Amino acid sequence: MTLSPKLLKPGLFLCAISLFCAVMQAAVPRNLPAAATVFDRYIDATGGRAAWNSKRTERDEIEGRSLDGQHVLLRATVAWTRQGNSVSDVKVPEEAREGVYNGVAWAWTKLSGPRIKRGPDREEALRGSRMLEEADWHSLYPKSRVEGIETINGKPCYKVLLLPSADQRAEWFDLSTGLLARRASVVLASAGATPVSYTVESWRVRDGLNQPMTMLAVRGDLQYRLSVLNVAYNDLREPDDVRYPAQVEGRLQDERAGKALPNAEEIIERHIFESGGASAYERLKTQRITGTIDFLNRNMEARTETWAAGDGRYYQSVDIPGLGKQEEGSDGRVAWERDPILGPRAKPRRDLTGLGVTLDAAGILGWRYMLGEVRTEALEIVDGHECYRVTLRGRKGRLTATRWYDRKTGLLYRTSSDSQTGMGNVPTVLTYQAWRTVEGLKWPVRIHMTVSGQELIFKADEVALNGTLDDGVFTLPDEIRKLLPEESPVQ
Amino acid sequence: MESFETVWRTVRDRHPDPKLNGLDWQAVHDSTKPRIAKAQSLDEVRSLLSEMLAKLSASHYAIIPAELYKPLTGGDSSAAASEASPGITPVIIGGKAVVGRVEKNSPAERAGIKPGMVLDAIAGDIVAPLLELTGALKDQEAQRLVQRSVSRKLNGSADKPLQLDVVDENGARKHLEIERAQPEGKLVTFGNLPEQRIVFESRALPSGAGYIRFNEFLDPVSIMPRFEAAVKQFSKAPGIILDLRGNPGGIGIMAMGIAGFFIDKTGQKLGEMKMREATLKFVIFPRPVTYPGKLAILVDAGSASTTEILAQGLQDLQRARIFGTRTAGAALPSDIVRLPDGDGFQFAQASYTSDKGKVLEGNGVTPDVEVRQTQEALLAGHDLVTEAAEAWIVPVRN
Repeated sequence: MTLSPKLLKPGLFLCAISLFCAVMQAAVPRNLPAAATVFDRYIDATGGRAAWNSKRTERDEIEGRSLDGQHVLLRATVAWTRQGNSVSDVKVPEEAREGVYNGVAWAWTKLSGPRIKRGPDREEALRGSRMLEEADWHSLYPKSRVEGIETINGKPCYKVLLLPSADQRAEWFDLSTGLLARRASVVLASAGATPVSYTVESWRVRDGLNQPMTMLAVRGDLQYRLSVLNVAYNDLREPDDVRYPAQVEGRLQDERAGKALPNAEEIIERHIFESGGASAYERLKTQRITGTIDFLNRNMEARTETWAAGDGRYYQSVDIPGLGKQEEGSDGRVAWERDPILGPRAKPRRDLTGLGVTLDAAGILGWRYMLGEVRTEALEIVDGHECYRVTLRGRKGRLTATRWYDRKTGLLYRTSSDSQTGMGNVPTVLTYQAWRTVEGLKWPVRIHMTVSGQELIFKADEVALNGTLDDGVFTLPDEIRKLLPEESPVQ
Repeated sequence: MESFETVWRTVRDRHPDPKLNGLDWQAVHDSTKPRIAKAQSLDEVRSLLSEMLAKLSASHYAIIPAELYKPLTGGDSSAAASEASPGITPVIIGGKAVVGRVEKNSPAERAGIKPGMVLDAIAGDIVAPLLELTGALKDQEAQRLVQRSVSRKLNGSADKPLQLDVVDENGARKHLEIERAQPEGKLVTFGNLPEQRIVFESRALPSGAGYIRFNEFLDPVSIMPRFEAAVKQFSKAPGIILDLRGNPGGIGIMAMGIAGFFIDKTGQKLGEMKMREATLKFVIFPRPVTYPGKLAILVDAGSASTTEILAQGLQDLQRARIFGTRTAGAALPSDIVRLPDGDGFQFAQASYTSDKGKVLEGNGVTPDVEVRQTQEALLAGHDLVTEAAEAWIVPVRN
């Protein structure tokens, strides 16, 4: 399957952390055994209780690759201690660190800086910070039970439900070897619930302990292969090697003093949640919007319509009295524009900077892939709204936009950026003044725009999402087709 | 004092450079204010305001005295374009208001008005004082403003014949009563601009060159297709003459659109307009089919704004040869506001430089071939500027 970056990144490395807590195995009677029997057999099969209990700390180098082996999706060093502290140092997909120290779940990313985790995010982090928890199943999952026998990779396995576990953890153990075959759970975080599973493919013995070396990982729609490149036991110094970094400590102090602003990542994700949620954006397939653009103090009002399909096809027109109809579009392969003054042009690349209302769900959800840094700069009053000011920088550090999010509603209130046009970069400020809920999404239906000092108001008449579109609207106009080289694949 | 504050504040808020080229504008305010307070007359106030504006070292900042501002705007400008006209286009030659062009089948033609005749008095008002009043302004700007003012005086109600005193080709003064009729051209509106009459013409000249003229850069929906059709019609012609004399400009990006018919290489631009918020590049987007032959652009003091941007840009790119006289030097979006004391205040909102870095504002476009129209030539039925362009396109062989 095609790897979907937007599904990959959030929390990917966290799942990897929790994986390496393998489980015990029980005896092999045809009648279902007690869970304790299955777990104890696993401990025995992987080195015995003494070997497990001799490990005070663990440090793994791990790597996740696409199933064809071509792409590295994850690379990190993960460290745990028996005390429940952990630190993950992630290099891929983004530079980040996170962990748990003395009950404080924290994260630092190059993207958004330090963050203290709360609520379900904290609980999930605490669950993932348990080192070699299999040795402690008696205290952790005292009500576990064997659910039945299921086949994993052609081998009969006991399915054991680990109880109580908030993340619905289940494990499968090979009847013949007693080794772990699969672990499954549901990641519970503020962004929502995501099913994950790991199926063990190979094993390796290190310092007397047999542990999974490669696994097939499934996270939502995403599949990849996870490998443990290196394992080291008992080489960490506590607390120095597992303590949170200075930025996190500073953040913690600010929060305790009530001086901290929310992390920008949380603010952006909150907007996604409040405007309908990630799944509603993922369901967004088509869009048709009609409305008007009033050029304030210019005595001009334009009619506009936008059509978009989630596969890159779009069409937008703005009919301005005295200037004529300005059109742009793409059939998914060729982007184009035309107007009475400049005539028809094929564009070198897709440009959706026009009204800021064009369908781009992937861009909304996959914002982390487009940015190098996001920061919450201030809490300030904008038009009477208490707003968080968030700066967004590109991968090379250039400021790409400043956004203001309404503290009360969580919705984006204003964005300021440079729109790229054929005539150069034009400063554009969009203020989202009204929203309408359509297909479970809050959609902006009144936008005040300031474009290079000129004020405009966009007002939507009709917002139709996920409806059936007439494909003809995306067809390349003849005069655009004539501009293309003959060898073009466009028919 | 209120006018002073309006002028000072307008410059502070609208000047294209927020730093005003390093000038301490607040200090200028503080030093000028007490002098304005002590001024004994309106003339003294104007003088102080002009002195203050001179510190900007920039063109197009001017205080226009109310007595000049009034006749120039001529009252309700929004009604001007819809007014009836005798069919005369005036030009300023040698300090005189002269008939430059007479519409075919117009009341003026029927009354015997010919190009080259001097307009001596309109509706009983002698024209000469108006010419003197504008003497203080820069040459091209004066010509443009006076030309516009004279045009407005000629136009009026269709019910009321025009009382006109002219000096004919023999030097004789004549008093004529001329009907007014709906002038040629299409009446168009664009935003807050007053209604304008848009005229477009294209024809093949006897030399084989193509001739295209339109009077303003407006109404692209009808002008651009007609321009495209004309360029296609003249695709085999030895050259095209684009007559932009008297064209005061209009929609800026039309210059880019027109240039696209003559430039076949992408990535070229006419110039850059620097506003306070952004710098806009006047990029040329080549049309699918471009005209490769000679291009002559005709200009005069009445050619301004978008006309200058187009002419200078194509001159910089060595794509066009410019004929005529220096243009108005008003290449910027400028505005005129009325001050509380009745005077006018003109100011620029952006700076513009051509592709080669030439500042048009206040300087205008200098023709490659300067050709001044003369009253004698007009009287003899010659258009010296068009003829010079034709001679370049199709050299006369001995």
